[in-house]
Amino acid sequence: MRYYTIIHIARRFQRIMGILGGGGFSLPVISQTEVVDVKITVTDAALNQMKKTMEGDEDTHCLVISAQSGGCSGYLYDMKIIEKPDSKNFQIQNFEGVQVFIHNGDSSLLNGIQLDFKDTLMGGGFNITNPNASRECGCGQSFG
Amino acid sequence: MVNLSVDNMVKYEYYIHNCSLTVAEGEDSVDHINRLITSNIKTISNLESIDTLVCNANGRITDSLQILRIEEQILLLGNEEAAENTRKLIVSGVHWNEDVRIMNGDGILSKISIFASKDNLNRMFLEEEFNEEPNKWINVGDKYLTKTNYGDNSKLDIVMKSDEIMNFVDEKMGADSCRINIEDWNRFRVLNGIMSFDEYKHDLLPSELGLDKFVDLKKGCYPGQEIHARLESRGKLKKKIKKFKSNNSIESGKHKSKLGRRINITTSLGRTGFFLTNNLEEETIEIDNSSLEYEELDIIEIC
Repeated sequence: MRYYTIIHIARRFQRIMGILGGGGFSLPVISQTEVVDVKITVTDAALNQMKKTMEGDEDTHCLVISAQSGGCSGYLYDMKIIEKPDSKNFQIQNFEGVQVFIHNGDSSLLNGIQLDFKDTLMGGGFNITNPNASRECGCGQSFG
Repeated sequence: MVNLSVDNMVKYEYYIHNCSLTVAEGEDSVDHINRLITSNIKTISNLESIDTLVCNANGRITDSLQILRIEEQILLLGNEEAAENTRKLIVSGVHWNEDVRIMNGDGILSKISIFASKDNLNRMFLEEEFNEEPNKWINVGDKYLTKTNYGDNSKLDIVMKSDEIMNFVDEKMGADSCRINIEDWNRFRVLNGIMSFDEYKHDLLPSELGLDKFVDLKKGCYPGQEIHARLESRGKLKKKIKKFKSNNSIESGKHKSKLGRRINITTSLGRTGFFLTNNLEEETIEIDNSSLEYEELDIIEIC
């Protein structure tokens, strides 16, 4: 599954004001997305920690790993445990009952990552190694 | 500033910018765009604009943006040459859970600048009251306007629908107007210290172009921030932009001075323009048989 650049024209009839408003005037919405089949790995330490954090909510909740613009290097990682989203835009991987969701929009940025966990007082926590990153910020939260 | 064209009889001169226009909308659009640029747009209010830079992770400028807040929408005016990369950056980094839509305004919206004396410009828009504060815009029908004064003259920037420009020109300025070309616009840029993609394309840091005022190191992380912060605390600039005057015409491009110094003319109007060089302290520069006098730029802006 691999496709590029979906550009569609959205007709917008209700707008706020001025140049972008009213009269059926509209601009093309850009949604450029490269979608790839995601495969990630999780270390034993990360899996143990994920299970501990989920505390028996594995049936209803999942871990979402995503990327967003920003940080020193261009993109920032984001990890959240949330109720399983009812969306077909996610790719799901199962690790001993713990489900990890990755959005299609982030698939090309996050494919191949390895999730690890370090149990140390300084600099501890989840850590992502990303083969797609040509550079990473010192704090490990940003990549590019 | 006025009389950019050859014909000194015209009252109004106008330039249609080759810029790229992008619109971002949605509840999280301000936060999203703010993570990508060197300035803080969270503080700007409706009908206020801010000039800012887009840099890569190495801190080098890739584009400059004029960002105008229009209620819940943000209009981004960038350089046409950098549009594809800038837009890709904006679109690819939208978080799955954020409400952000990005729209392409190229060919649909345009920016036009009108140059005139203050009196002529006031006559042209008698009914409108411009806010004299910098970066404040007004909304007239489906147009957005801002005025900048330069001594007795003014520049009026208008964002409008592309297909209405010629009607607008006929109606408001008629035969008293003259469309200026890219060379005249570059002349205006050099006179007023305005940087553009001609300068950015040389892989430069904001400080090398004197654009530090467009970098807010306190706003938090953005691509390139680490490099900018390090440079501010202990860095030394390798290059600096300056303005030159010459007794002969010098073309833009890379040159070597008589003493072997590398001179990169980024914008040339012939006998004047911008150039990049490493620290100059000594010599009168000579390139081939042309002398090159240089001066620091007092005010540096972006477009």
